[in-house]
Amino acid sequence: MNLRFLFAMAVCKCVYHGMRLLGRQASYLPGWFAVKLCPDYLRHIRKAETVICVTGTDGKTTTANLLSDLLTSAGRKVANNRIGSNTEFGIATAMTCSVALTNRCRVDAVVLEVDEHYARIVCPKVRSDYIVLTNVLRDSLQRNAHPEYVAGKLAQIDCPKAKLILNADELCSSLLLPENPRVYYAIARQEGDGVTPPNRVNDCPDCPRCGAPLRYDYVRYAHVGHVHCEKCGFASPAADWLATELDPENHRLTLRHGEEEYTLPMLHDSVFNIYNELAAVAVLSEMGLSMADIRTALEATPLTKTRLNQLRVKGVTVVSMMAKSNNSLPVSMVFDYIRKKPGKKAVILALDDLDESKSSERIGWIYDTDYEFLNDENIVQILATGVRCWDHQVRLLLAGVPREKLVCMQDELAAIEQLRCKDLESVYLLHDMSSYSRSVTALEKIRKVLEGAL
Amino acid sequence: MTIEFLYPELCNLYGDRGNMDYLRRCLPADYRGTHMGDEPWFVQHEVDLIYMCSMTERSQERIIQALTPYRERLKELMDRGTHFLLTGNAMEVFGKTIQDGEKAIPGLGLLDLTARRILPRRANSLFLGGFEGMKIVGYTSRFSHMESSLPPLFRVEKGLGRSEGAAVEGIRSGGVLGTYLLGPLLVLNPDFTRWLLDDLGAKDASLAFEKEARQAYQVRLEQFQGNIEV
Repeated sequence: MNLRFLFAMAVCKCVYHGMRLLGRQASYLPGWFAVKLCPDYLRHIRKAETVICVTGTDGKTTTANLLSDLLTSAGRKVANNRIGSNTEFGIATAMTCSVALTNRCRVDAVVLEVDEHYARIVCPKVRSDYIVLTNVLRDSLQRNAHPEYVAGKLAQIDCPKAKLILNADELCSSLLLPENPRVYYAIARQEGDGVTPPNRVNDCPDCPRCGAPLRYDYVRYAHVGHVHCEKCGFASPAADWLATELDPENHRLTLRHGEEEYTLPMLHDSVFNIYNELAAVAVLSEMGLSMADIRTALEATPLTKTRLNQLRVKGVTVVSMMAKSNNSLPVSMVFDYIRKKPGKKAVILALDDLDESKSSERIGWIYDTDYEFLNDENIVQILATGVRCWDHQVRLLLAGVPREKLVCMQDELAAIEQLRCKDLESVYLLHDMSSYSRSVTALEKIRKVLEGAL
Repeated sequence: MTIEFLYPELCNLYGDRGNMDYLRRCLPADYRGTHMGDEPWFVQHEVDLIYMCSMTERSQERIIQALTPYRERLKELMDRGTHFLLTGNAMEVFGKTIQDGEKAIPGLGLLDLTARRILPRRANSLFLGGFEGMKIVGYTSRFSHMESSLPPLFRVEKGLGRSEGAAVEGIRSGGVLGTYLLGPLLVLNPDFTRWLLDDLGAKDASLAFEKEARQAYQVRLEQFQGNIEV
């Protein structure tokens, strides 16, 4: 046994337990010590029987958390990095928690959410059995520039034995690492799917093989859908796991795998969360779990609360939703989800990153985001809040939202007092991940305003 | 008046298309979009403004290739003073070369500028600058810098110019306005947009949502003039 490695692990565990005693999260620093003391730390650490890495632009937290929960429900002992960092250091911490001081593995499986920039470093070192590539979509421009750049990074993952779990409906990721074994999942054409990309952003307009414009058999957001090229015959990959029917009313979906069809619980009715669920189901099935066990585990698993929180106040549904700011597509998808919900609605935009006034004031993303979706007769009021509220206001006006529907105030709590509650059936509070704790306060404020008014 | 947006399906990064959305609301004109494979509108017709904006590095090479057959016509338009608004890395397409490590990618050679890619490093910066007595606010986020003998578009007060440490930003050559600033530059800078409309001869055109746009501009300007990190 490598002494340097054992020393690094002892330090890592000491730092971890010390920080936990002090009430700290201990997700990054213990692993930082481990890797600094032993650069090959992740290669030496004993691996669980199954190591799953989840990477990609969107949905990796939800998918990784869901996989952990489902595996736990199915009776497996699982380690993961859900408490924090998804870089090499956070992953070193999570892996350390999966082994005893003697480097004996104490869990059946490790589920790791991996930052897309670190995937090429981490995935081979942890000897991934499965790599879930959720998607490669537009993200923060400062860090991720554009999908071609991120796809180029992911294409450097050198892990030839790992089985890839890929979204056949997302072209930027589904063609990556062509030498790896792979399994595809997809959602078949559904009522309401069009053949023209519905969003302002489309990062795959042309055929990856010949450069001709792609034709869509169906598309549901950005470039996510099934394509073909009329010039060279290229087409999206066929799905091994195909959700054929979605039944949001009864929270059920029908999944086809080969000749078999299965009915499973649908954890959430938004299409991006259905993709996350399909990815998780595909992994579990590849691991050998029976569909009966997967169904039982799904039935026992609620969606992570940080992303979606719902309450009823005197007949009004109040929904708090995470909408990752600085990232146009998830926000557009949330806007689309809201506009398709029935009834009169108010929308509160509390999207700005809390650090935005200090260092990262870049608002290009709001011009990639479909604010036009909020120009809907059933959306009767929009509160633009946060440090960039004035920019959101201009964007909403450019999207055609009438001035009289708008309230523009920096302080979201003050803005909430302006809610016009008459005939309101639902209120949607959209917050960034960084402002989750503030959204809890805002939710309480909405409750008070609604209780006072109704 | 005719305004042509070149390759909107490829030049669709970072919210730059907000500039065209805003211009449409300010200025009634014939707006033309030229897609890959189409003959650009400017080849057979007169245009008043050609707009091109941020794109991927691979798209830069595709667009250089697509525009090469029309190089002489573009030169004629530039010599005549036709307005070009080039945001993000679009101006590099019109330069001499884009140096990417050992590889030199020839540009259209219409502007005296040489770009140098710094991939995988990404240069991010807020920007406060000056232009014809007005203050310009914006930001840049890019994989390249450039050198040029051409006069600049903006004078740097804070943030990144043409390259690290440069006191000037972008290029201005006749009617060609090129800047590394990206995103909705025209929405962010009502004074600059007013100047552009006037320079295009559209003095009667009014700024869309002027009150709200100026409010947002004023807040940003005060922040940028304070102790904000760039």
